[in-house]
Amino acid sequence: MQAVGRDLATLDEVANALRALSPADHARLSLLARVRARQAPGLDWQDLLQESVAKALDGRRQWPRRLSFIVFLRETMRSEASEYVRRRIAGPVINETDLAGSDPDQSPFNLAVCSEPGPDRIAEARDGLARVRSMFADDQAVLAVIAGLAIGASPEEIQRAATLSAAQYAAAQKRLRRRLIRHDENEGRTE
Amino acid sequence: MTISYPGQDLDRLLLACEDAILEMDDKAVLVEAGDAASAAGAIVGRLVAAHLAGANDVLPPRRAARRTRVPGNARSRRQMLGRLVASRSGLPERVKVAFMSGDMDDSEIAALLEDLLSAPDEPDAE
Repeated sequence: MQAVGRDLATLDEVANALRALSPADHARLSLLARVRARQAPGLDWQDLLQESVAKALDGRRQWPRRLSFIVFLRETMRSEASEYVRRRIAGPVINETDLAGSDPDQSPFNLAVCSEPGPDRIAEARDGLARVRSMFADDQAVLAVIAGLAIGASPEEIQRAATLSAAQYAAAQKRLRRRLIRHDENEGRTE
Repeated sequence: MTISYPGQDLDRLLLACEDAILEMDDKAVLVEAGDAASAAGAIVGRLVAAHLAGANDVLPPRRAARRTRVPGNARSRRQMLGRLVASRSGLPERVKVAFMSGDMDDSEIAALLEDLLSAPDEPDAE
């Protein structure tokens, strides 16, 4: 058994956790992958899930014991989707060894990929949010929920601001979730 | 002061939807996912199977993993060699003769057992 770290599960534990997943867990993973693929147009949800599970199995993504396994995979897919967007916009990371022979006046630091969002990445994210909003152009309740969730407001704050009852809020949130999950199969890819 | 940008807004929105998915009960989540559940299960199953197959490649063969150890006392060593002599037709005749004559001392028996038990393609001694 390979001990990966003091607070991290071993690779054997990851494999065992994957084998122990129930059909309902598989269903959750599929929904989580479909929602998260929304962040990265062009990324198929099955590819996202596959890449995330593969990286968990070989230790490139490590499972902190404090997280449930499903939450760990959710966070892995979140990170993978973000990385996909970063690579698509910024291109591959340039290794220092690849810089040999390049213009000596060109500082390697100018070529390094920055983890902070640049203008392209901000524009991409803005487009992503706009795409989600456009799916609900005629649904004011869902638009209010989107606006609230996007700024981290609590359900109560959103209900108060949009004058929604708890039932209306729950129904709007359900419509939002279902549309995000089924967007690809009903309307084609957004890219 | 926290700087917010659209990527964070979208991330927060998706996180909220993911939280709602995590809170769904099993029956509801299976209905919501439909065929995607089995597709996800197939992906997970395939990767785990590949992982386990890869792990087995670097493990010793099953027989080697449960290879019989040379006993720790002379009496047991002699008994084990007796069983091997009786059960293995491929042993050199001189070994059989030496053992049957009682001329082999314990150090010779131990060395012979070590050789016989470490051979990868030998049948079990027990």
